[in-house]
Amino acid sequence: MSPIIRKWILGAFSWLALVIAGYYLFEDVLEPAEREEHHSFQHVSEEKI
Amino acid sequence: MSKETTLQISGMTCAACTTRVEKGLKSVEGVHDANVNIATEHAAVTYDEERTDLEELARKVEELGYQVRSEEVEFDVTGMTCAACSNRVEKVLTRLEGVQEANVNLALETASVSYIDAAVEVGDMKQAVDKAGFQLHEKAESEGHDVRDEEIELQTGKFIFAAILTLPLLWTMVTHFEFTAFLWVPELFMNPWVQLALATPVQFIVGAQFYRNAYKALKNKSANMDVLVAMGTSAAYFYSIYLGWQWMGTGEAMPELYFEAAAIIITLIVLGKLFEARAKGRTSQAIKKLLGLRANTATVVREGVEREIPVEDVVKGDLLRVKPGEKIPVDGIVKKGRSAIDESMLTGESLPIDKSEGDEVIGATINKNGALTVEATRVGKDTALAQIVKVVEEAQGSKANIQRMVDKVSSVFVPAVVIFAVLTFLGWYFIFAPGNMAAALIPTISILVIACPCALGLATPTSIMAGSGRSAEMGVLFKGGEYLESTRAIDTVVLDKTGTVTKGEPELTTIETEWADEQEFLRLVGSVEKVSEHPLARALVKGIEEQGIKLGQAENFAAIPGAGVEASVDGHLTLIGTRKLLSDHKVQIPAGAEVVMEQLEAEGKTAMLVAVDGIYAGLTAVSDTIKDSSKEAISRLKAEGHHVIMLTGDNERTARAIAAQVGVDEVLAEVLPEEKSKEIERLQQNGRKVAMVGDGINDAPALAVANIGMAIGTGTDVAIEAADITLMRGDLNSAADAVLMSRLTMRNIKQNLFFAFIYNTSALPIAAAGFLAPWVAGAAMAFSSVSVVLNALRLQRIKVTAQTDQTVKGA
Repeated sequence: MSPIIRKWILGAFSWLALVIAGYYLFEDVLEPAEREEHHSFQHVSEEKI
Repeated sequence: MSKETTLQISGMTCAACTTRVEKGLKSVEGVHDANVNIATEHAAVTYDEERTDLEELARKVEELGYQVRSEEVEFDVTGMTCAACSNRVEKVLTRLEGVQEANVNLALETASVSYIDAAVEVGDMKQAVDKAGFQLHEKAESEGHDVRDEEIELQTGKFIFAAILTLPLLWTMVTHFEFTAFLWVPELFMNPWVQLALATPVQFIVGAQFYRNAYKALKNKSANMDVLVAMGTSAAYFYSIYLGWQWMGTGEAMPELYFEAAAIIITLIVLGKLFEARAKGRTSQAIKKLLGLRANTATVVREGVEREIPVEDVVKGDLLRVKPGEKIPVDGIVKKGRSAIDESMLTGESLPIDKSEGDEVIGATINKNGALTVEATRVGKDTALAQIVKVVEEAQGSKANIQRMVDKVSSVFVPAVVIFAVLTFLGWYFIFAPGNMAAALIPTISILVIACPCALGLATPTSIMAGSGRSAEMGVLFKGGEYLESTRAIDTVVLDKTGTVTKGEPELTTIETEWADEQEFLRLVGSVEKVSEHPLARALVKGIEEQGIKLGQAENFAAIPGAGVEASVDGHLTLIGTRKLLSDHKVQIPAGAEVVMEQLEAEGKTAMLVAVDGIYAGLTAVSDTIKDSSKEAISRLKAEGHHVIMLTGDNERTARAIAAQVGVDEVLAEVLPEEKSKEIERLQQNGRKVAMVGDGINDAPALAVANIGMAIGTGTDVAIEAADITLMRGDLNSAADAVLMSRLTMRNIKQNLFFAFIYNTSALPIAAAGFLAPWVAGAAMAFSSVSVVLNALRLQRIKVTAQTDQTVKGA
């Protein structure tokens, strides 16, 4: 694998890991309200599709 | 403002020319002074920039019958994404003063520019193009490292990066469909902030290229696919941020976000471009293959010492040693030795050809079994292989007429699409779904994304590249894309008989004499014909000499075109030729001779009557062997729907006999060499589109007059001016192959254009109606380009099975 490609892959996984870690660290802030589960989301989606 | 410039002028032969050019230039309005130097061939001109320009000066010089010498330069272009970009680069280049012509090929990513040296420099071109947002790399510059490979690696990296971050977003899409809704999706990926964090690098790092190119395009008041992609994905991305912001802290159900649409579109388009770049690399494989044929080193004998040197260092006149199994390094003449040479890589001729002292050999062909000493006659750029590469490169880089039309369409396409997208947005927002931002935005994004004209821009050049490349491998060299296009339109194929239908090497077959001394008869005939250049005469002399007869000296030789020859040998006036020649000289032809002659002619032989001192003496006949492949090739041409005509200087009966053997539709016999082109013109006046197949030397005028001129069997000399197509093999099947390749390439172009138009036009109303999700639009758009390029690549797999039948495989 060429160094250019390796650099991009490494970058992507690092960022993904950072985002996941960040989410669990700040879960309380990021999920401020209890959601009505995914059903309503699904409802809107079906309309769109 | 006054400006001084120097023009390089060619074609001047004397001082009168100088004055003419000077006067002519001075007569142009705005020219203050002109000074022409014949030795240096320079014209120094001082002129008012506001009143005239270089193009006008060049035009004037050409009007006077001279040429302003122009330089040519080839560039690799980077940064182009669609037809609008290549148009843009072309415009920027042609707008530069001093640039006469610029031809940009999107598929090859090259630009060839012809320019007046004194007026503009390569640096100026690079600068101007750079400003427009693209980069020019001079061909020589970019040779060391392959720009295309680096670009492919970068795009691969970007694609993988985007794919890794887009996958979680794609995962959340399972909740969009009822049949996948049962699948588990981690809570964190549903969070708008996490989605934002994943989509942002895709949007602004991977997508940066679209923003950058779009900005440059807009700055130059043009629009290309990048504008559409940037607009579409930005709309999805920023609208999602707005919705996420609104939702924050409300405690309501999470709204529909479109981060995944933006990220998926970008990822897919990068993937599409990656496929496209790889496939485009493969369409230029023909050139790589040709270049790979070159020998790397040569064993040269200098001052009696053998040395191995790089092939570039071989100079004209060098003596080269070629061992069995080695490649012949450059074009040359065999000085010593005898061997069979495999020329299949250049001419497609499968059988090795025997070569001995005095025979020409071509560089890159393989010496099969004997050691040879070869004198280099053509080296470097002059070798047959270098010329073939040049012709193929030029053909691949040239534009077919159909592409000019496509270019025009695609340049207005993008602005039209933007207008259409805006109208769709307004329609949805104010009429169909008043106040519903999401309902208005989705179709708008889909329209912007689906309408990219990439496929449209690629359709023609990729087919032309693949088609001309494959043809070259088959030994058919098209001089330009336009010939690949126009060969399809011909309805009549005119074949020259000698050297085209027949081998062009006639043999002496019959001797009939009234004289008791046949030897003396042959001596007279041979002595006269020895002076003649005609191929029939050479055949006669060869046949006579083989019988061990010593020939004498002929005096007062005269050739009567289309009739025969006359000369005196040992004081005997000898006439050799047609019935007409003899009857013009009032020679009585016996009835028996007439019968024999008719019989010979009916067999396809060319009979020549001989009279000595005004009395009929006998006759001789030569016959030219028909090439093995002629009959099959002619039936292939007829099967393609062409009217096949054979053109010959032979008499009607001989011509008909040969015609019957090979199966042509019509014969034009007794046509004098200089009348061949008139016959072609006559056919054209009758509304026929004529292709002429003949050798490049004797038939040059006819080849030039015909709609398509095909020079056959020229092998090494590919740069024949008069021919539009050079057939490297001596086989007439090549002519049928040329016609076939033209038809298949044009069909391929039409398929491509159809694909491209279908994608763009049929998807637009679907998108406008809101039935097309943006990510589907992104996928469709990315794969439209890929499908077009892959379709063009099919041309590379065409196989023509010669000899047995005319089945075409792989197309």
